Amino acid sequence: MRRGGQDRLLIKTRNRKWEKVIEILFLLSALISVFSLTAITVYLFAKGFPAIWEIGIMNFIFGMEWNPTADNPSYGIFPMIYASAAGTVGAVFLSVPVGLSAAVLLAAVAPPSLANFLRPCVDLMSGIPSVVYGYFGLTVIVPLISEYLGGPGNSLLAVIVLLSVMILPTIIKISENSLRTVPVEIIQGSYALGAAKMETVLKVMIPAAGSGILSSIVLGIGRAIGETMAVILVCGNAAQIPRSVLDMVRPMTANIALEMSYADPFHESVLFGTGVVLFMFIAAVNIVINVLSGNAAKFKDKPPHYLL
Amino acid sequence: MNIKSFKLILCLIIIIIISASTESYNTENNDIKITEAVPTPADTGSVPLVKNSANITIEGSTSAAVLLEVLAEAFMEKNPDIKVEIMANGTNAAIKAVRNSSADLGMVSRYLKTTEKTPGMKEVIIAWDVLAVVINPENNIKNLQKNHISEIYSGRITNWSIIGGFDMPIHVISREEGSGTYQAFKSLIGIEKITPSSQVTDGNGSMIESVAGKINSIGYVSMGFINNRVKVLSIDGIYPTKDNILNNLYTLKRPFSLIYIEDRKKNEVTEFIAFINSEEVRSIISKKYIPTEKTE
Amino acid sequence: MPYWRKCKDFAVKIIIWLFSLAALAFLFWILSDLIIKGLPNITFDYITSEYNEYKGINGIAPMIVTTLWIISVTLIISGVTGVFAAVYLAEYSRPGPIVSVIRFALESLTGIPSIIYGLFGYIFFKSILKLGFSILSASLTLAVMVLPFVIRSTENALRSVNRLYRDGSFALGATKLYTVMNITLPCAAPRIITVMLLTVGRIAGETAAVYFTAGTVYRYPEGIMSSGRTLSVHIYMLAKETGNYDETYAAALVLVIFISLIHFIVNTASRVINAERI
Repeated sequence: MRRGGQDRLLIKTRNRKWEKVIEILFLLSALISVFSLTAITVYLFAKGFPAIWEIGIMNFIFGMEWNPTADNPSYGIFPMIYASAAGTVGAVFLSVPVGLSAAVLLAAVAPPSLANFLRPCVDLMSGIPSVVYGYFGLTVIVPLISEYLGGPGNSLLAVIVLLSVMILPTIIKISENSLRTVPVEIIQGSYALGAAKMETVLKVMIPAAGSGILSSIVLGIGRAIGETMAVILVCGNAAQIPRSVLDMVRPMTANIALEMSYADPFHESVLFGTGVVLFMFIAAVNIVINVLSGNAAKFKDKPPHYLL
Repeated sequence: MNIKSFKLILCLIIIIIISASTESYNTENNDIKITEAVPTPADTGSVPLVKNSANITIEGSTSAAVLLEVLAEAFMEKNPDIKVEIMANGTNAAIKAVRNSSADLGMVSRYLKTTEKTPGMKEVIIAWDVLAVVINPENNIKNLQKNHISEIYSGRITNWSIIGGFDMPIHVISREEGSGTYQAFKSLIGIEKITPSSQVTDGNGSMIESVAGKINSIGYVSMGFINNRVKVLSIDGIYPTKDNILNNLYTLKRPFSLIYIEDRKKNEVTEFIAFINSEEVRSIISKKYIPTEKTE
Repeated sequence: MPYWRKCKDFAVKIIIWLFSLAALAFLFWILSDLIIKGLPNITFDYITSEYNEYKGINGIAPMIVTTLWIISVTLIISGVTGVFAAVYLAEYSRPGPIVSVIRFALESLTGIPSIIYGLFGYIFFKSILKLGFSILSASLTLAVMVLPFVIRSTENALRSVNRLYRDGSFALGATKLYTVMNITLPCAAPRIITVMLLTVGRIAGETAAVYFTAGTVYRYPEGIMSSGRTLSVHIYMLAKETGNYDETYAAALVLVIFISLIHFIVNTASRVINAERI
């Protein structure tokens, strides 16, 4: 420190200004996320809502017929909403038991060395791009369904199978994490009372980690509704209400991606309108997550969404 | 969240709505401006021909793009200074893009409707694309009547046995709404609405994939994509051979054409169109499509 | 313990193992399918040559280049803003309305599916900002998409830095900025780098958002304003336009190898980082 006292003071004041500028820069960076969210919402609605309004909200959401390029076009997306919902519900039903088992296995049952091998496998599973899942579904699962179960193969079932595999990592990771945060005292207490290992898992650990597991499922639902590239390749894209799981469907995401590149302005707005409906579903899922993590905060084990 | 944060969000939303509305207003204005303000030929003429920055942008039909990509490669091989950029985004987009000058050329894969033509828009047919109706090779049907095809696609015939085939339900495969192939097929077989229970594939490749994968399926693809995994049907006894197509006996065909606005035509575009009419290119085209008869 | 309770316990265990094995089997089914059908078609030529139907070449080099372009541009944008934002959240912010709004936004952005980002990028970056179908549009869209992930993970990395270091720095009279730049960030750097690597994996695998913003031109990109086709979009285009098994599987395998390599590095690295901390 060879500088004179006055000089140092000067630097200090200059630094303080500089610090303030940088702090504001940091704040602005953080606010970008707020701007993005607002911009996404506003532009999506600005582009999609006029079309919905013109068609009529009821006609749009509950319309059964999708025929946008006919001379007398009809823009009903109910079959697509139905398909998205059915695909998601099916995927959750298939995925939750498997995911929960795997989470329990990783958290409590498997020896640490095996768990250390399996965890990267889960990461890899979530790392495989959705288009690769889709192509695998198209070339392997679809023919299998067609051969052994009948029907066209491109079907709701194919969608459900793929989606359930794709949301599996989400469910496994977050459930495992909340299972791990269950306080050791509770588990030891259970053992002390003479409970067997699995009894402890089923009756103590899972209920204690309940909110975390629940929010992992809700997050999985969000991912399943929004999945596009895997679904578009296997769903068959027929805009109809499926009568069985072997019928073809067209979820909302597939509808957007399928027709976007060809659409004339009004058709394009209608597709954005489909996006708006999808967005509403996602918003609902987000609200549920917020409520759940609010509850979870009471139990001090806030589920780490960022693990995704 | 408390009231303050809601206020903050509200303010942000209002700001962005305002900026969004002014933005969209501006873009609308620009569109109008562009369509009205056609540069005069003198304008384009006065632009010195800087070859290295020369660019031709082409937008439009995905099916025509496959051919145009090949032609553009050949063209760029001969004229290394000119860069051709192709964007496959559908016939409707081509018309829009040419109108507001965002593309120099538009690829169109059907006859233009009269309402779509603007004054000064030129249309050059470069090739005929033939739509082949295809089925699985294991199906015994060889020929279909045109009205049978319409009835299959409108959902009135649902079993192959009705038209002399095996007793199995017909799996109808179509293309996505708005694709040029879909629109051309719909108007060529003369139906208003394809049955909603038809499978929708998103490309010629996946159409062949789907037809080859299911014995009871029927689909339609551009002739250029046919391979031995599917069987081409003759229609009303006429097989899509080159002669039958040029003699207008086989009617499921559509033009691939380039559209541009005469007044805004760049020199490079003229060169490109001249190139496409050359003998060499016709041989490239004839690999997969039927070149037009020479008019000169 | 009574016999039946032991049995029940055992049965539950078996079920858990079976379900987990089923999931694992599915993963290995996909991977082996990819390797069996893809590996024979990956040649040196396939990876290094361009894609050109006129010459009959079907390499994937331009797609790899485009993918790398998009990864780097996105990483620059989202890395800088993400780290800045994380520093704000971890070091500067005090609980209050601004922070709760930011957290709310981050949480909501995490849940939005990629196709919505694609639509947003299509209308905002491509049409309104007139960036067209370009690497820049795609990168901006992807940057917004990965931002919540980058911010949250970086914030966590910053928070995991030992408090004592920072307190020591403050005690020596260092300013906040000095401490952040010279103590906290360097200490958190290894973790931040693994975050960036994971982001690379997500960008490389993304299809829907890129498809709407970068276009499908399969030539080498010439800059951030030119349109391009990433490897994942290429897989989709091959699947729908050509129906060529071999090519598509090869491209898919290349992409999966790239992504699993990243995961491998991240796993090894975080094991090392964690070991160092103990």
